[in-house]
Amino acid sequence: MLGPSGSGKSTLTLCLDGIIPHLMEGDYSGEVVVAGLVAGNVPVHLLTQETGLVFQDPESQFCTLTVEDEVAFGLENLQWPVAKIEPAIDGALTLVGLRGFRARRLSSLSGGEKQRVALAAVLAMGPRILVLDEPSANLDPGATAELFAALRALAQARSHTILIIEHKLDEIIDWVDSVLVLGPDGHQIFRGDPTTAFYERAAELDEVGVWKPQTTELVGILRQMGWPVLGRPLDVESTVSALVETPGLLEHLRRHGAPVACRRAPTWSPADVTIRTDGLSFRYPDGHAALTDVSLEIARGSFLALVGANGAGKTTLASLMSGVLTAPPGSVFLDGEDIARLSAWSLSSRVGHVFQNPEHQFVTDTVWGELAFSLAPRAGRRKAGKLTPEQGVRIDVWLERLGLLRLAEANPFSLSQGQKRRLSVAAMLVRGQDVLILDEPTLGQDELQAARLMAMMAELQMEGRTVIMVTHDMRLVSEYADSLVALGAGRVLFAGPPTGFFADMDLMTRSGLTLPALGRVAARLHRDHGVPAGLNTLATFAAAAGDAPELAWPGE
Amino acid sequence: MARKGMTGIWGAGEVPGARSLLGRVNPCVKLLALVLMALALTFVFDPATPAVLFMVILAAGCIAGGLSLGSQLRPLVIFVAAGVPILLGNVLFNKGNAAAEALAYLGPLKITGVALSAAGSLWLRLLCFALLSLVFVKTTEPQDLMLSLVHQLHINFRVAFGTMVGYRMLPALQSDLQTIRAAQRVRGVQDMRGLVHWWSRIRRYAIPLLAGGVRKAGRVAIAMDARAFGALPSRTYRRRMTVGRRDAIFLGAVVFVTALVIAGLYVIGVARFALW
Repeated sequence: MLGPSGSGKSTLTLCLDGIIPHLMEGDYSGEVVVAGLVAGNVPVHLLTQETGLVFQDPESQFCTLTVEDEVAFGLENLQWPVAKIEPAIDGALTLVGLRGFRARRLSSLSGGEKQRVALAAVLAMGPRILVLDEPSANLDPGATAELFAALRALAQARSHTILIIEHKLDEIIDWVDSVLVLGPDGHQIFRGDPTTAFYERAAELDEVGVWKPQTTELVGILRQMGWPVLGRPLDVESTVSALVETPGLLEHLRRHGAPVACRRAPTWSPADVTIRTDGLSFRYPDGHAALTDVSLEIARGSFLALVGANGAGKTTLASLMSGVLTAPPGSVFLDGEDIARLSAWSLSSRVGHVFQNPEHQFVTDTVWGELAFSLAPRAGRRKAGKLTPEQGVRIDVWLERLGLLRLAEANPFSLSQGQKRRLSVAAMLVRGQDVLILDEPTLGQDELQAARLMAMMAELQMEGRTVIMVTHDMRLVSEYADSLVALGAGRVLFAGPPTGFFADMDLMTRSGLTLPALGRVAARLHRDHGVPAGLNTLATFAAAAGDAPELAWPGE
Repeated sequence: MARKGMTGIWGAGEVPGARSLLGRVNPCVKLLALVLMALALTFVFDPATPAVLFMVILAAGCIAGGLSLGSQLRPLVIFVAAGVPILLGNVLFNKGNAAAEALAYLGPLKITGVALSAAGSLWLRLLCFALLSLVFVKTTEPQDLMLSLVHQLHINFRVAFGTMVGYRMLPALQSDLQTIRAAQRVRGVQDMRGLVHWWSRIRRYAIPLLAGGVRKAGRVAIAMDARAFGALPSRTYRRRMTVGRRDAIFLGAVVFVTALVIAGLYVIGVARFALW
């Protein structure tokens, strides 16, 4: 199920379980029939045995403390006899590949394991329908792969009907057989098979801001450029063969597809370095060593992606650069100055740090006040009195740019997810910092919102500022970043151009990361067909392909 | 900035003494023993009895609870520090000071035996209460306590489970607060001390914290509903907490040892009671 933010995807999932209309207030009309049961007339506990729900955040769907208690929870609620519960726990854990985990504490599990326990907990109740609401949104790539492997096994067993809301489409497209698209106002836009959705209705999906598989985007672009790619491939495998069979394409790629280098050479003159870390190690007060001997140089005006599995030290490193955490003296330098010697205020006017949850950074009651606060902390609440006229204009210009001018007097908490995110970025940027650090900026955003935000970042980079982005989204990395630092267990595993990183499969595996679909297509073409490596983005691929020679069209 | 997965004394982390002898006692019985011991302590009025009982609890924590000395003593630092104001209060305000003989003078302050003894008794009893609670928390699985409240004290299971889910979320709230403070600091918010700024500080932290907390609570509620929680008037329990011989022996042992200590000290003339 696809749809932009606020299109009612989650609401629909709750209708399938009877939580709507039985337990939530609202106007409800029409009829939902699940496995022959009319949801409006059947009590929730019967519907929960037909439909199992898995939610996004593992932490806020657990009701107990250990794996076995969690899986048993629903069965106990349904008054199952104890003798039947024990084998059911084992059965459900086996289905998700967590056999030996019965007695483990939930708090000791990784994100991927937690989501698989949540899956087992609903599977135990014996539903024929599984509904998953963005189950991988909070997971790193390794954990996502783990969860999807468990889901894929279930899908192949054909034992359950699976409904999944997910925007990492490339990872699941090979076992999806049907697509439902909701529009911004909650109307159904499309219902049908995935090839029709992503090939015939692609323009419509783009318009409402729905994520599409990268593979179909690539084929779409190549066709626009005149390459007669045949068929309607969805997964990596079939896309590779479709490209191979396209007359002339591979030869053209071999000739013109020089690997795209990083915009800057990996070594910079000292004057170009904005942030430098020198043998940086960091240990939290509880003894956890988060970073060990990290030495890095970040060039002025670069777009750096900070990647790695959960717990690799990404957030710690970002926090040390922005002064959220206090760096040990002599280990982090900003334009040659030791960060430990800068005052908090002067550091925050040079390095901005946008946190993952925008709400955490709101400090006033209005959208306008958020920007005013950044320019003059005293003006935030007491209105324009403390601002210079020039600053007032600057705020209005920013609001215009964000499309928030209309909402200047609104409370920041009342904005939509996308608006909140843009406001939190703008509230940071209005002070004009040269370095901006973003923690998972596109998390929970739909395609339009994400594109808008990333365009804003690219614009900043054009102005000569440095953007540092902590992210799990390899697609974003390959499309926007011009340099990359991969961390693993607190150490630097790689620092250099993303193309170099994506070319080293072994290194990616060690970092707990996976190639985006387009990267996998490029890697296959490189390995089996001698196409130059590094065609990891739509832009580089399209540039290498160039316009199709006229004669390539069949019949001409 | 809060690190993910941090667990303090609260929350979903490992309970260190869960598998010990004390950890296997029924939580409600353990709670009863704790209350009885605390009750006995409230009537004792000399420093020696709570001091001896403190040692007894400490030893029980080590031997029967599997807790190290350090893990029992370290969290008590704040209660040890409380001794200073207690002592000061008694030196300044104890009713018996006027009549009693001075042991020493500290400038204008008259230090009497009465004040020292009263302060010592109060302080050591406070330490005993704190240690009792600590040993209880460190040897009791929250889940066991909740089940035992439902099975032995017949508390409504909806209330008991609701409370436990809330308890699960405490560490998350704690780390959220730390994240919010860090997030606002990088925006240039300076924490200003003093009562004037107290309200604005509370407001600034409380709104994002509550907004996040309410949303999280709503999500958990939906997740519980989705697994038929509370849909039927009762539920079955995979594990049932019972009261058995072990619990009777434990309760008897606690009463016996406490009585023995108090009686023994009374016989040798050390223990005094508030009742007479």
